[in-house]
Amino acid sequence: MDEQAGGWTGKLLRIDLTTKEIKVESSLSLVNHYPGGRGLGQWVIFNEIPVTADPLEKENVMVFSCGPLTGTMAPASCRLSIDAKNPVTGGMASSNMGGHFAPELKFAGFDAVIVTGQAPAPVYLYINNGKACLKHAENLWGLGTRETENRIKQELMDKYTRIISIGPAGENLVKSACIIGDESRAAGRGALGAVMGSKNLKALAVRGTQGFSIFNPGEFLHEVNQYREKLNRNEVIKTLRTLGTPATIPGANQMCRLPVRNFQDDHWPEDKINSVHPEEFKNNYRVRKLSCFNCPVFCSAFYRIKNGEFAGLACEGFEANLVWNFQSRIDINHPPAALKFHEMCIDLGLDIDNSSGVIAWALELFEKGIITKKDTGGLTLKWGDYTPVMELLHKIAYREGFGDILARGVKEASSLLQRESEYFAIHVKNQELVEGIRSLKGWALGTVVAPRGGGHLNGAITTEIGKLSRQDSRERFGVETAGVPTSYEGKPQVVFWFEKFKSVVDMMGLCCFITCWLHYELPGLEEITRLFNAATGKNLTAGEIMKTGQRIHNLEKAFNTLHAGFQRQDDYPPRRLMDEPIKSGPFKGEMLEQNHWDKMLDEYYNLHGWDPETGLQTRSGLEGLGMESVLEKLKNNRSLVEK
Amino acid sequence: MPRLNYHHNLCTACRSCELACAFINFQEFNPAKAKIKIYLDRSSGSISLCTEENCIYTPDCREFTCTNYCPSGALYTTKEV
Ligand code: SF4
Ligand code: SF4
Ligand code: SF4
Repeated sequence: MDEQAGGWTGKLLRIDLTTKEIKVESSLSLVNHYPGGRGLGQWVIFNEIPVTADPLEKENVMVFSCGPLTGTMAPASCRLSIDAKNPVTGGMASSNMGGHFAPELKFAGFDAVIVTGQAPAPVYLYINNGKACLKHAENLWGLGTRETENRIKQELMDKYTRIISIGPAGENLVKSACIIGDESRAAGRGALGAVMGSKNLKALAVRGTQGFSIFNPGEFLHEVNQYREKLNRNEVIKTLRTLGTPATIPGANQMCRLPVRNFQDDHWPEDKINSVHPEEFKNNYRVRKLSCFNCPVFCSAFYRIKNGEFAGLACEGFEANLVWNFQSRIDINHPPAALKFHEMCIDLGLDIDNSSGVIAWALELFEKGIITKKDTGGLTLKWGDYTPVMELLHKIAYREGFGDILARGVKEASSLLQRESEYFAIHVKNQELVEGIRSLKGWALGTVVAPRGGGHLNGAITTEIGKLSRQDSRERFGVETAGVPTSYEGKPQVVFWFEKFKSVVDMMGLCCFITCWLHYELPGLEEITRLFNAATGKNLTAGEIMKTGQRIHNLEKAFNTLHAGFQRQDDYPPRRLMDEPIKSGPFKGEMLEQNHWDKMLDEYYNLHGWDPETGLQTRSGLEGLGMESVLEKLKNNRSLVEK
Repeated sequence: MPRLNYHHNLCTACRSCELACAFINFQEFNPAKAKIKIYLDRSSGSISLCTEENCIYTPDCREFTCTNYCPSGALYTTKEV
């Protein structure tokens, strides 16, 4: 193998589903530019998808990519980035998945897979040690993701094959359809499952036994050992090991971060929170802890329900978002129902965040009398009543009756229905908002300006939750207030840093939970830089790596400008969160105030070198990042600000 | 001679042991070459482990590398009695 390719396999797969042509190409020129994961994926979709492309037609391009650290001994080296044009927002999509698929792809000899075109009939892609072929999937079409994985393993007669697939929701082009891997892991946001469905691509299956090597094994192992020791000493990691991300639920409620009844409030009464306490799940339903590939944190678990309505359920799960979306958001406090929702979403291939968002909207409309049983096909929708919600979920995946309206996502559904339902459609850039954001102003800013549309996995800052001290805040970000939840002051600087850093984590192929993205005491940029250099033989500084992170963010921004026309007005929170304060809990009275938001946006754009008036990118900003080709495209589209 | 032991209930199926074993013996990231193999049955949640009989005698692994990289404590060594 090419010495230069340490950490990378040096190869990528390109599949044209229309012509069935499969090519193996060198990945080296790409990875030298954008080392992997989200960076590589965004660069490819920026250059290859025409601005006029319909996300659900053959012009859309999907990139499945690993990072240079994916599959190595670096902790939590399991991530796969999936990038394409987003059917929900019309802009960019990037979704990130753990599990075992991405490392296996590298062991099979590939850094990334680029899928173009549209297959005439259902297929799945089988990748095995440097080769790939398309296989018929007519017999799999219609199946849930769990059965799909099992059938493919049987067909290939190899239980060690790693698979990502779509369920009925993706096949039916539902706007909350996701991609599921290892019967548990999800690339949730951005309806990437629908993109696969539109391509008639049911699954990707991979088996790899050829492995890869790195530039400096001794130094790399030394860095790995140090990193692991730091993780072992960290209190947040200890909690994740015990309870997983659901451990954050009681604290999140204390900080008013739980959407309650479609954001009527952001705080849930104590008795309800206690009934869905992480210990409840652990004591009554948890069978064992589980983990993604090579992750020392093992935040996941296997659950089984022995008795009652959902007896027999057995499934790996789940993250904290299940509780705030399929519990507080629709006001249900019943752990077995939560687990059932989780399992249904896995099998149907539905994203928990997006599907619960549109359902909460429907429940509120029913409460307010804006819709009735006539609209819902006879279903009575009521906060706290999970049975009709489960029925709805099914109807969404299969686009049956009222489900066909909800399958369009909350923005499109409310535009279609009208009747003043738009106010209750809580979305950012057309995509459902995931969580309560009125209390934490920096978290809110990062979430709302996120290029993929309303999500905390870009620039949302975690320093407010961890209450970073003023002194540490000054040292890290040059502002005092990173740890003060309700302060608007200084937050743009912190968001700017988090955006760049999260891009770095996503391009390396690591899980953000093992980094200072999650908690400031965890290892971060310096450690990742050393791992990267030891793996690849490059000699980049932390600053240079952050600059690449900034470029990725700018690529996404430019994609959104060109494809969706997003400008400043699209960087505001949903109206409700600016008009209605939180009604209860420690942050009662908090909301997002327009004048403060205006000011945060001005500062935020200035930090990026973007134009505060329009929110668009500028010549000087892009030149400073060496992004001339991006600049040219924006200029030709008349969406570059010349200054 | 110490012995390799496995505490089934603690295992998280992370496969760090496979990765570390292959790396220490072959200097590459390639779990397929590991002398230990972990399999998680996703319908039942049960995990099985198998090791090659002679694994502890490999020249490069006298120290049970896999146990050092097992984060959950599922793999451990005991003195043979
Ligand atoms: S921390 Fe959790 S989600 Fe992240 S890699 Fe580890 S097990 Fe997976
Ligand atoms: S004892 Fe050594 S050779 Fe045997 S499985 Fe563990 S790491 Fe591999
Ligand atoms: S390293 Fe430990 S926890 Fe992970 S799979 Fe191996 S035995 Fe199980």
